[in-house]
Amino acid sequence: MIKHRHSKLGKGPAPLSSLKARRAAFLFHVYDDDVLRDEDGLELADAAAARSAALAGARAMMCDQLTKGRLSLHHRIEVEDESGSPVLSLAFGDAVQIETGGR
Amino acid sequence: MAGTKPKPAERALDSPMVAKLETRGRLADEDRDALNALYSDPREIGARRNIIREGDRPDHVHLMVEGWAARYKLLPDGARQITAFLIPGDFCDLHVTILGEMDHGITTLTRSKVAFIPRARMDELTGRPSLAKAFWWATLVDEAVLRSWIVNIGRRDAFEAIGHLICELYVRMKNIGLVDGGRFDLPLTQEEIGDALGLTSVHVNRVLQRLRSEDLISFRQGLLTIHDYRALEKASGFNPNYLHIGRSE
Repeated sequence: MIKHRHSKLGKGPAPLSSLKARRAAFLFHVYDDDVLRDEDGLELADAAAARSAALAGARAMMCDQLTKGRLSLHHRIEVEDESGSPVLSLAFGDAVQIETGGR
Repeated sequence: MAGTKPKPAERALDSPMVAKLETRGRLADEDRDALNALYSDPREIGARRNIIREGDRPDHVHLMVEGWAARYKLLPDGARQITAFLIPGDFCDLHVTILGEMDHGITTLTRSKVAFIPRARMDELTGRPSLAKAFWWATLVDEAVLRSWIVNIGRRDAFEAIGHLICELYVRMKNIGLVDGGRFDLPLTQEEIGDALGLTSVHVNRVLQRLRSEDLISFRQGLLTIHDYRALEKASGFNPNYLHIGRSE
């Protein structure tokens, strides 16, 4: 009989980084057309890593929007720590440098 | 949610490899016995350990007995692309007895049991025309899965791509008897799903919340439940034809 094992969602992901110290969970609530509360969270080293993840996520979601012909700079990601305290709020527009001028 | 563990395969005596290969058509008893015997003495490997590295020239073929693993390539900047998820019954590196050297690495994702099959034993098995054909079929299905991943990455948006991957893993887990009423173990982190689809973790997280809010799935503690398979299939453009179930001869 095959008994299948699994690890908990969100445990340290990279196979080559098992030496990393204890990681904290951060919740990433995305406020776009809907408000979707994050129920899972991501385990990351610290608030700086959470900020990097939010930046990368906002940019990727904007790419998705752009391929559909829109861009919503007011959408935002709000990050909370495990205890529910706010860590940061990032508007999509603040995740990119926007250039509109001529030369 | 009580009793959420998937039940073992109906025919509990058969290994996942037999269950998988028999989705193509029934195997002869002697072939089935030979395959089941491969499972007799697997080694335990912890989570997130390399089974084999790029450049290795192994003396053994590795077969997943329990747990999950992934094929991956590392980029110079440390980024990782996962190119396959391996589940019980999958060969990790059947081809390496012919190609000689690994062109990618394979890592466990969970604690796993892996059978180490000597080359000579593999040669003996592939010397039987029926098994040679069955292994060839498995390799062709692996290729078909890779094709579907290219389509996923190249042409589907994040929502469709994740939905498609979930449908595929559901069918593959069902083939080996590890789905119980729409529920199966999916021990992947958001980062691992992102590495497979070229998405950021936060984006994967966002899509999973949407799949959940649309009542298509729930996903807690590594256990995935599909609430409306037909709707998920439709939303992600999934057609299981590339898994070639029941298409013998």
